[in-house]
Amino acid sequence: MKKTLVLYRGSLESDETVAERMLAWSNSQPNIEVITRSVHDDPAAVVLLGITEVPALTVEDRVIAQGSPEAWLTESFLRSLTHSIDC
Amino acid sequence: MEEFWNMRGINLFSNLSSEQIEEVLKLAPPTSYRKGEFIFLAGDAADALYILQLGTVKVSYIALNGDEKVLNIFRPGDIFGELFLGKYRHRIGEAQALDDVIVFKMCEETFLSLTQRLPQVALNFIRHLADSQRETLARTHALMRADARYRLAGVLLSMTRRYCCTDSDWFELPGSVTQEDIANMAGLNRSTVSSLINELRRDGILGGAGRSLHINRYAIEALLEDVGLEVLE
Repeated sequence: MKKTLVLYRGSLESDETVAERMLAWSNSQPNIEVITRSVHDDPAAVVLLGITEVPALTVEDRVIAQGSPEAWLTESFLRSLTHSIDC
Repeated sequence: MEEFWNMRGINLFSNLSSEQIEEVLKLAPPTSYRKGEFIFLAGDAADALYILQLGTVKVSYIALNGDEKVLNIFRPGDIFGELFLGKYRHRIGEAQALDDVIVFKMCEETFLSLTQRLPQVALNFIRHLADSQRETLARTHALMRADARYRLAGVLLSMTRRYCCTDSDWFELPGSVTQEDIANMAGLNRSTVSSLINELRRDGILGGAGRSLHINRYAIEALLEDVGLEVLE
């Protein structure tokens, strides 16, 4: 069964770039799907999840990364995601 | 109601139970704004306070000579727009989203009713006002200096103290805050701020390159103390 990661993004172009990269990565992952949501579509969800910066990546209603993608969107982070979800 | 754990990071909600936070959220639904949108404008009726959940908000006003004066820059967890609780009933400045923003808007009636039902909210609010007063005093103290270098340092220290939540010496200013915003907070022009930032980078007090600005909190404090400015902490 596939695990779903939800990427909450804002309206800035840089968020769009992160979304494209995450979607491209998920295409090569048999057990992971990534869906993206705009924070403007569901502000209440952003509040309940405790998201204070975008883009923010969540799994099972838990924030696993947020803020400047330079700080978290790395090859090693993606590898660790693949590993933790496969396990 | 464990899902409300994260709301306790907002000072106004600290020490409230999850049930109480849920009650507050029902009374103040979150609203989103895109970069550049205004949350309120100068002259609008002031009848609500705002609690920032996501993003960065600038509150500023346009001086008679047309210059923008930045009163403050807010980050998640901050409260703004609360001065309507005094005698002034109109906004003197405007609040603008610097990036994607989500705020809770709490109207006056709701806020007053909440403080009666949940006295902890009133206590938290008084603490917020006291902290704001202290921060304003510290900033005013630095701005009274004629020397631009120390005025800039005072503004940067103020922002670092409010937003730096790690043990690290270094704090990276949010990218949505521009050098022009910093200049307008310090009452300086942008080119002066730009050259002072380069100077402070050379001195190891600031770091980063281009738009990325890293601030060494302890180095800034030492700089201000060296010239006899109390850092008020």
